[in-house]
Amino acid sequence: MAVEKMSLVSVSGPLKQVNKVLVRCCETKCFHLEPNYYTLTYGSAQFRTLKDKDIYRHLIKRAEDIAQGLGIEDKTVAYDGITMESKHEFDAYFSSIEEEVGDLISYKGFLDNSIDQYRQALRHIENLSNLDTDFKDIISCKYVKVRFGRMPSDSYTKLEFYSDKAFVFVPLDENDGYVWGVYFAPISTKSETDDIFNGLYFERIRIPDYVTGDGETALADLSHQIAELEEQREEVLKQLSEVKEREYDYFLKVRSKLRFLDSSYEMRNQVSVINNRFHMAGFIPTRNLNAFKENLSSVTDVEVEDKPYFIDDRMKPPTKLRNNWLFRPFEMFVKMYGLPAYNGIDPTPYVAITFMLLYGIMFGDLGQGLVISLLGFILDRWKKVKLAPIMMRIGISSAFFGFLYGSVFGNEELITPFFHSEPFYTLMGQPHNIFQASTYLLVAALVIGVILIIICMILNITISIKRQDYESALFGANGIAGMVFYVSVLVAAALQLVLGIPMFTPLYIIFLIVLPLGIMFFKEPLAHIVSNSVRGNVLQTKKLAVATAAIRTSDRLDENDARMLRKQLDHIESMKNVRAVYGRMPVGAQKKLGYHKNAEYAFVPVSEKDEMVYGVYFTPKSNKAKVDEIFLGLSFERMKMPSELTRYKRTKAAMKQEKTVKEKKSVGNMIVEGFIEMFETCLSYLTNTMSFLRVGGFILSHAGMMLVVNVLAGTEFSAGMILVQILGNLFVIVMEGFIVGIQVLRLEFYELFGRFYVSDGKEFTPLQVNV
Amino acid sequence: MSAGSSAVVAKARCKYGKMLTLSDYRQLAGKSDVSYVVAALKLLPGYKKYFSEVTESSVRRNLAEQLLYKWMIGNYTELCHFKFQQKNGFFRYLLKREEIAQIIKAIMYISAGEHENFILYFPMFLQKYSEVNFMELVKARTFKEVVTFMEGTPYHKVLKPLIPEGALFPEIRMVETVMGHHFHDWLTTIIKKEFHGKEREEIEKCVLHSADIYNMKLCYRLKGIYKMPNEQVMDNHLPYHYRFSERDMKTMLEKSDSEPIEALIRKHPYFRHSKDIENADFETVVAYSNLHFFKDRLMLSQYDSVVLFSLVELMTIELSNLTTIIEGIRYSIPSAEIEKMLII
Repeated sequence: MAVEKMSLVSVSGPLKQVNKVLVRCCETKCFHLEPNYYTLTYGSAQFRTLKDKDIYRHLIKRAEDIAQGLGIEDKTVAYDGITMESKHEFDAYFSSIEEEVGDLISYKGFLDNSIDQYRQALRHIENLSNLDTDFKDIISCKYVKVRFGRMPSDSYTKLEFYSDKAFVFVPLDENDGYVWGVYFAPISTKSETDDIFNGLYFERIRIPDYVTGDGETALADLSHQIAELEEQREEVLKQLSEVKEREYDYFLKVRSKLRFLDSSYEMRNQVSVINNRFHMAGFIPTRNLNAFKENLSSVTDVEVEDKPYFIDDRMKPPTKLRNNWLFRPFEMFVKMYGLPAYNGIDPTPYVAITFMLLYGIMFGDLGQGLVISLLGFILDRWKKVKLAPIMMRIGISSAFFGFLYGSVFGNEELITPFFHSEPFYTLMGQPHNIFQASTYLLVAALVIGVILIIICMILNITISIKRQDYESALFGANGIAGMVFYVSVLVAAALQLVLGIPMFTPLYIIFLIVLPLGIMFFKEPLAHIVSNSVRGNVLQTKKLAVATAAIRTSDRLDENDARMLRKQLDHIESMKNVRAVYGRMPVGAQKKLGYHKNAEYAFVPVSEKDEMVYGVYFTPKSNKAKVDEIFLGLSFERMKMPSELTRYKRTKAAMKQEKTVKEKKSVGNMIVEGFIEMFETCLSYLTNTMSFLRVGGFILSHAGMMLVVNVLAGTEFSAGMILVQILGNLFVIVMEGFIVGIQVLRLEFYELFGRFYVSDGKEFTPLQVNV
Repeated sequence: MSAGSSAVVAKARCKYGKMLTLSDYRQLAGKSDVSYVVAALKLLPGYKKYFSEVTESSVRRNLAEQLLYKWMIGNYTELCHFKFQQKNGFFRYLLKREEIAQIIKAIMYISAGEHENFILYFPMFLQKYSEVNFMELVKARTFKEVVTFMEGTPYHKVLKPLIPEGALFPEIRMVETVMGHHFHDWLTTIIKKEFHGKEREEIEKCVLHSADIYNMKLCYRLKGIYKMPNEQVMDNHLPYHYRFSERDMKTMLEKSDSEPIEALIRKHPYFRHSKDIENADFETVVAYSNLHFFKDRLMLSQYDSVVLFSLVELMTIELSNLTTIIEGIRYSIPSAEIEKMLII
């Protein structure tokens, strides 16, 4: 259950090197950039983000034009061996191609346009092809105005109303709710006629000069001219294809590199800049740290600094799961549910094991399991489907359990099932087939469920203790109290029902059932008591405790300094809402603090190391901006508060103060809430356990479905039987295979994950270029 | 409920699901030209069918509006396809309503000597559902000719008493009133004939709600805008009431002699939602009230008649919203202002 260990790294250097650094970072594929790091640490007033014009954009445009002209498809490839990086180098390469084929590409463009125009004319003329007079003759009429076009069919019916008007409309075709045709009107009534047709939504079509002859002839002419143009286009393409063939591989690589540089250039807006130097920080898997540093060492004047571990508590490290080849594909399910926090536990191995186990039990068939596995292999090999590796694994699990059940494509006579071997045969009442052992199967399913639930409870207790969540660990439904209750009830019920031992004695009930229930009922006040005694530090008095701790642990304060500081702190504390910031600053800078005596703050130096003073400054939140500005000017670098300061034990005064601050909750509320929660908890124990009955149910359903297939196929060997067997098995594999997969996933997410898993992690997303 | 009725309910709700959302309206209102609105409508699932063949670059506002109208009637006829077997049944109510609207419009255009314009704007696809031949109707030049032309239709009897003495046409308001009465009489009779029990109760509520709204609008227009005497307003009102009774109406008209009538109407429980749009005009407030009333009916009712009636009302609101957008864009109104005018 591993989460990849991370290191926080800062990279800085002269601004002119920023592109190279970004490119290197992308190439390493292991750098998770934290764009807000510097503005969070030093304030947005000091740092600006880099926003400037993209220098590669026009080169990309040229590359696309050339690719379109040469007919090179839109594809991104690996650009190994392409050394060009500056825009001049790209410019020179594209210019050489343009010089050679620029004219041809332009001519091809001209031909494409012409073909489009002719085709459009052809589409129009197709609707006017019933015209039996020469277009040219009609258009050249001197005293009659002619308009070709179309109008909605609704409008055409209205023409009847204008029968007394001086125009003639000749319909030539009707389709898609429009009537195509031509109208003629004497020049003297041209305007009136145009108005009428406008009102009838007549859409005029201009007939190009090159359209001559009657409808049929014009169509034939246009088709012929299009064919001629296409022939010329073919000739041009032939000439271009020689260049394409020669340049194809190299051009693809150059364009891919250019796209990569263009995209990496866009990342500049995530970089912080101050005084003509760029700064960026991010997380790297610790095992890749040296390789990363080595990769960046080729860029001159760039500094890579390995920051102290988790220097800033506001910087949440990303989570990258790390599992072996067997479990890795199941990370998909964990990501689907939500990643664990960086310091959390990776549940992937648990998911992998339980998923394979449950799937195998529910869908056990040697033949079908191997088919699923093979299908997974094929999908993984050729289609890279994410689910495919999981299919390979669960297929094998299914095959293994199929072997135990003695089921090969539903045939239960080829292999002896485990329940026909001793001692199972006798113990299970000599079952002939799986249906006769159904009671045992369902009980076994429940036992599996109980074991898995108990494992989840143990995991929850472990994780909660690690997170100092004592309420959940000790008193929660999935904590120690809950586990004692659950196990006690189950054990007692099992022993009483199976062996007839009377377990529910008053003592048993009081100590192992009622007491845990009572603890769960009063978990809130109990947790509060435990939390207070264990943690020793609570939020409300944290700042005061930190100050006291800082003064006590300081090796740089004499008695006078300490007294002065306490006075300052008392003053600040009385203002409430105090902010404590831990960090470091150069020794010289600390001396300059004397210039800012009027500001409301107190700085407690804790220790000194390598010319740097480590300490905490306290300031009322109302004065935060001003004091932060002062410390920023003195190059104060914010860091995570060390644990020796935060875990300082509270004073009695602090405890008293805390008591007054604590939220008051009425007893009535607590009882009502507790009662409802108790009811829900007890019900969920029962339902969650019963939910595992489906594990046994699916074994029976699989056997039932295969029985149907076998009955349909019959016993007589024939082509029909083979066909029915193949189709039946395919149907069962597809339908039941998916249903079981979904059911197992449901059990994982709902019955198991909900008991222990907290998904509050952030995904590790290395800087990379999307091309 | 029969399987056919369940299918109509499901389909109607499905059509409602395809209706425009706030983000769709925002997107459309943000367009700079009607052609872009049409191009956007072509991509929307509910409108694709009606706009796919239109050339957006040359489309005009009138055509766009006609297509939207076709969308509404088309959706309705699709849903009622199997219900049309019964001639003059309830499920033809929208076609009847639109037929009446076109007759009133035709009389209006003829009386103004603009019969050609009526033909230009007449939605020709309605002709196949109508027993009145509108192409022939507009050839009439006097009201008497119109009435004569209507012989053999139910409208002859309705319009005949209006033939004026000494004038070519009666007041158009009077035509509207008698036709409105005729439509509601027909609708209520047909509901009583075709529906029973809970379904009749629900559909009657919908129709009476519409009658209430009609009467309120009447009060607002005739009394508020045209300053007509109370008796004349009462003469024109629809004698169907749900939560706005005849007595309420009389009291309100009396009160309105000393107070603005719009404020009085707005106090009615129908407009409780209008608090959110206090500055909106009266027509908007009415549409807003309809939106709430019929949205609830569409979602909650089990009866196809009620669901269909509600869908028509909601489609009418959507149609009006789209017309607002198109008009707004045409007059270069900022999108934020257009948005304020929409009934959402």
